[in-house]
Amino acid sequence: MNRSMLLRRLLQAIPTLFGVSVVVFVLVRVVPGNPIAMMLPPGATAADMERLRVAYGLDGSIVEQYVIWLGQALTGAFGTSISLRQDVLELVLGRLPATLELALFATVLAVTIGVLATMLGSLYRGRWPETLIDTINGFTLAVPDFIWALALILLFGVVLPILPISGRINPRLGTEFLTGFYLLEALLTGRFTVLGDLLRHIIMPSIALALPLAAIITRVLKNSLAEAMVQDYVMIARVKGFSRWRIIWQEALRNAAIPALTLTGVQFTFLVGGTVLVEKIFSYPGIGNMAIDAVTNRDLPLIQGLILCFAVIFITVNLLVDLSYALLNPRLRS
Amino acid sequence: MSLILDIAGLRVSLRRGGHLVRDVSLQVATGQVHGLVGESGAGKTMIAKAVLGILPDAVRVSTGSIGFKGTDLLSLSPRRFRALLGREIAMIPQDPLTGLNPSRRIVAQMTDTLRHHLGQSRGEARGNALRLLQEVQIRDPEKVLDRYPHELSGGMRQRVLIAMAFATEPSLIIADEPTTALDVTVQKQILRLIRQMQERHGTAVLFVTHDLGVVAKICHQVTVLHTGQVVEQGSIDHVMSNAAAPFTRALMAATPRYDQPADALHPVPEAVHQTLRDAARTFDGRNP
Amino acid sequence: MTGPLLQVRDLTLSLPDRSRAPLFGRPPLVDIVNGISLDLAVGQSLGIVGESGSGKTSLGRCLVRLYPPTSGTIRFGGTDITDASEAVMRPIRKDLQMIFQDPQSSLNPRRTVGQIVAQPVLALSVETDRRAALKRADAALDRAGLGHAFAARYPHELSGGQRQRVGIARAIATEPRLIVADEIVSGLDVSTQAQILALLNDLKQDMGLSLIFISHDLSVVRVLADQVMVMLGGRVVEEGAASAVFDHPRHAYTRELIDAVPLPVIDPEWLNAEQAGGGTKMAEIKGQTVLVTGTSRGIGKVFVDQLLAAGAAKVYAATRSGGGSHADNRVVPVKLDITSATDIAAAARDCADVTVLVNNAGINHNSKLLATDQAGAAAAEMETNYLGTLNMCRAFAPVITDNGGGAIVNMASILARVNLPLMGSLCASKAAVYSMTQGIRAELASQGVAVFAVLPGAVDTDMTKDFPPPKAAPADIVAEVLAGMQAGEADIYPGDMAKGVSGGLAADRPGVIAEMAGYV
Repeated sequence: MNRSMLLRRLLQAIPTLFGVSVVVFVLVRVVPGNPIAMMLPPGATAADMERLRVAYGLDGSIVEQYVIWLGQALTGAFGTSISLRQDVLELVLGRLPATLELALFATVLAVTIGVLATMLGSLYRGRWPETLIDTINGFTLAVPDFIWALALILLFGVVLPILPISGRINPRLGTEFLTGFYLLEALLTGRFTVLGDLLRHIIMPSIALALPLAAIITRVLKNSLAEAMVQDYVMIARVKGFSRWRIIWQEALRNAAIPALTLTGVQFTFLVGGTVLVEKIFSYPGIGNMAIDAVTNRDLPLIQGLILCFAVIFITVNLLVDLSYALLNPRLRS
Repeated sequence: MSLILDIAGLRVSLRRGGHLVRDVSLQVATGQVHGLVGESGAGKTMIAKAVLGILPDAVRVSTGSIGFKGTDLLSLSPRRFRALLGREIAMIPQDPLTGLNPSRRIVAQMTDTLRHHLGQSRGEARGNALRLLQEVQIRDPEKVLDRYPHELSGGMRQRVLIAMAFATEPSLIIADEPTTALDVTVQKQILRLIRQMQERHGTAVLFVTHDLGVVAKICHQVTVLHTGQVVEQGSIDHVMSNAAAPFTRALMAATPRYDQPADALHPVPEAVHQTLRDAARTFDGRNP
Repeated sequence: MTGPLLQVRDLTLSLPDRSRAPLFGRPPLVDIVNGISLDLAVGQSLGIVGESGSGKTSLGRCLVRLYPPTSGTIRFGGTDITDASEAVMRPIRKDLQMIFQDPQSSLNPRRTVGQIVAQPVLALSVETDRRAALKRADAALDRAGLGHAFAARYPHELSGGQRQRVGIARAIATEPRLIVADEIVSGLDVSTQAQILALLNDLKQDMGLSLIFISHDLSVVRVLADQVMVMLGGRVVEEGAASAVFDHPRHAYTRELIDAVPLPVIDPEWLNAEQAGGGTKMAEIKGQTVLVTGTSRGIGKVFVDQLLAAGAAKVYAATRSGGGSHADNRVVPVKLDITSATDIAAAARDCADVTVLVNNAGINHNSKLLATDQAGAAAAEMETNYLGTLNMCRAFAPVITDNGGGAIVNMASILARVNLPLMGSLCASKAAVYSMTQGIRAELASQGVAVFAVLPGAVDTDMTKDFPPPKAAPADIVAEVLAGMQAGEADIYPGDMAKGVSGGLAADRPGVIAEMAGYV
């Protein structure tokens, strides 16, 4: 991918974001439910309601509201959350790092599990380890992430209570963080007790998110690896006297990874979507958790801000996937 | 002249029954190019794959031996066989476009055997790869080392593959239709190059091809195959000028030549094929 | 009907080159097929040979209108089908069939052989009744030597040779007048290939069929073709009767192709023999960085445009003043007076990526050798034409070698080989250029640099306004030079006059000299 293509992709992102904002803006306003009514104590008058509607800019037509919102959004002002009464941008940016850390951790986990399972399957092709991996994989594919979350809580939180079942960090540790990226910060500043606690908290939600993705990666990678293994260059590598393990790793995996990568990119976006439920189940303080609260409270500015944030994540991930093609496939580099 | 490859009574069979190569014997000596000629299904590729130990899963060697410098390759453990492959035995594949890994640089693909089998350091191996590229007359070898395969033309890739095959100074090279996918002008250059390299290094070559013309130009000895059976074997002079087998003669008459008008072309009579198919069936009847 | 069945004039096919697509807008066009003309009579067969990238397959597809030609005309049976709509083409298609290279992918796997063969019969309304069409298909299968029993089979049940016979049956089912067959026997075993070739030969004779047979294999073409066309880089380099082309090839590239075919005869010298044409080298234009001198007018200007059209990556357009601009951003103006050592040294330093050098700059004083009225003219001509060109070669030979090889083109003149008395001193300087070019060619032969001498006749530019006619158009001259470079003609004689004089010199040297002397 060269620079002009990168530029083209960045320019394409503008209409996409614009479209998302329009759709979301209209949707959250046509669905039933009155955010103002939910904010007011019982017995408030119609005049009270009108006052609040004006205060939150909900008195004009949808088009008027959108134009005002867009004008402010372009300057970085996404409004004030109705339920939390704080700046939307601040709220979202405050919670975003937690979700990104969870999603990335889960993806790394999924890719590691997927690649290892595929390599083992290919190494023991036609023997029992391959059958075992295929069977487990078929089962994992069929179970969605939130079921895994509940099963994990049951197993490691209740039956065998060795892992914390909620939150991101034990508040009694009383540590302060400069950034929202706790894991990274703890690692870089060498606070290993804190790091251990963070890992104990993140491991269950990330496994719940990672397992379905790992299963999909395994399935796709298995097929593309089988295709790569019959190529002439693999035959040459066999004739060079290399072991099967080395051939898989050195010759085939990289070429097989290209189709798997496309899928991982697409699935990563689903994974970010998956954080909504999983974060709620583990009371993990990310934007997914926040999104559920925002929807429950009909907090229009916050919903809009969150969905735009998701859209930006999707676009960025897709761009990163395309860039990493170039890394794997030298033909796209020139 | 010592014997490098000594195939005796080689029978390659499908696991579910049926033979693909029927008791073939052939020898290749140091510095000799031995042509393995036949049409599709004649078994020439199966013999090559049997020597390299890369037969498909559904196929196995049922009887016979493949002697390499006095050792039967079929008796070696996988580990000891792998130690020979890539060091003492190498191959040049048919298709230069798929023979190189698209995502690895030329230098990595050329040096991995040098480092693995001969224990050379990264720098030492790179120097040797550079010398090899010069030897196969690639322009700008220093730059080519750091290129990816898609940045080279078909002829250049085949030169790289040839250089790769000769890298560890093997005693035997299996060339599997190495010029079939190339343009005719490039084919001539590549044939010349294989001959030069083979003569310079004294390498024995088993040259698999369907093209009698190519055989005539590069081989010292020829084995003509049909339905997995040897129909003719001997020196190139013998086979080209007084072939005994009807199939060899018919194949010559069916090969079009730009220096002869159309009426000189005679398709192989069906009876010739049939006789050989019958012989194969008789063989299978005796050896189920 | 009289006249050829197929008449093609100046056929060109250009396709967008996606590898050079800009950020916005359309990618530039490259010529895949370039200025092809041919005539094919009823019952005649034409073989088109060339290596990969020669444009032979694209040409075949253009002829049956699978690709729309960019320019030129195609007339089939007297009808202009160049831009014919599908509605106009439909009744013509039954007379104009194509057989493809890969029988596997051109046969629908879900249909029986009978249905496949009957399909064009129905689609082109040769028969409207399904049963009549299937009957016709049976007949075609019989004729293709497959037997109508095969009608009920599916393509995957057939061998490669049998599938190719189905392809042939499908093509002959509509009883066409012309079949274009593209590489239809490559990939088949020799014994199968011989059968298919014999079948086509029979069909050709029995049905009075015209045939265009496209192949990379010269031996295969020899079997079927009455006429042969040799293609290279989208152009025709040689054409003629098959026996003439194969037995007495004129063009260096044809000789090289023929010499590269391994015949099944023992010839220990074959592998070691140098390539045909005494080591003549061919030069690519596409992707090269070219420096052309003397581009302010005339031939030099045309050179720049045609090099760009031929796909040069960059063209340094050198002029004495250094000015000038060009619409194409691949053109870089360079100030270069070839009589100035400083200029040449600077150019060799600034244009260090040059792979092809075209020494076009030259002067012409129209001076008689013994005339006293233009003192110094002979010296000036020598200084520019000979020494200037020599110094350019000396400066750029190492540059081109460093860049991995390329080409040097020196513009001499047909007058290098015979003196025209009215401009004797010019002729002497051109003779010096020609001689020097031969020397440099030998010195650079081993370093991957092809050296060409161009010996045109009079070209119609303002420099030659005093020359006697006939004069050739600069565009035609340059086109022939580029074709000659790509074909590896060491000495290029562009234009009829140059070819005539060169031929005359070979046949009757004293006669030509006497005729030239007559101009006084």
